[in-house]
Amino acid sequence: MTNKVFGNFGRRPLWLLPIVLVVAAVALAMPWAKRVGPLVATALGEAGVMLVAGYCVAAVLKRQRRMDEVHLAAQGFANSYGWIWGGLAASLLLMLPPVMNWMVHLVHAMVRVRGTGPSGTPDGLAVQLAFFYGVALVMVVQALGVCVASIVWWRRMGGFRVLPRWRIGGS
Amino acid sequence: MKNRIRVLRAERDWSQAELAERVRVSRNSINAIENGKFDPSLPLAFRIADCFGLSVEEVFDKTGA
Repeated sequence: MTNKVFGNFGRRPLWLLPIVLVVAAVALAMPWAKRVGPLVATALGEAGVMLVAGYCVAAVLKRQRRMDEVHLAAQGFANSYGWIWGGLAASLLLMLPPVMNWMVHLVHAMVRVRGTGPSGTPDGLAVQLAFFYGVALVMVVQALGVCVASIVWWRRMGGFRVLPRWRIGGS
Repeated sequence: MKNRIRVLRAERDWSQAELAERVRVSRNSINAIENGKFDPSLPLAFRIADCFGLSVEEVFDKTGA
């Protein structure tokens, strides 16, 4: 039914709907949770993160069950090369002065907004944020590396489709 | 490994998508196998051969590696 209504491509954004709903619910409930207490606000935030992470894991497992052997091979190739390329790219990015300076400025700005610690001195929050942004950058670049490796695999297989079927016509 | 999937498909007037549906894999996978870019596992090779009503040797050419 959803296929008829939304088409082959339009159905895919529906997968993101639960994530959008959880994030919206947490965002709406956060002002109330902050009024109740910081512990409730933290618990609400963590519950939201766990729900989104759990949904993502379940969605990936559901999708993997429908994969055939060529897709599984593609995934194996993408994982084995993508994580290495991504990690290498993230390390190179962090070595670039503009990127590192931008991250340092970002952390400084966040610490100033929160008003924690005297300016110019590294405090707990600054270190936490630096770790968080560093790990987040590495993970994002590694995820991009996996996507690139997957594209490389499918191009080698001669079956990679950049555009949805309705744009280029089926074969 | 070379194969005769394209010829066999053409004889039956099947599209890649049609064959993919019959052997329960994606169209991209059939394309990769047909072009010799990916060697299928034994169970998949048997499924493809069964689909055409032929033996594995009649579909896949072991000398074309």
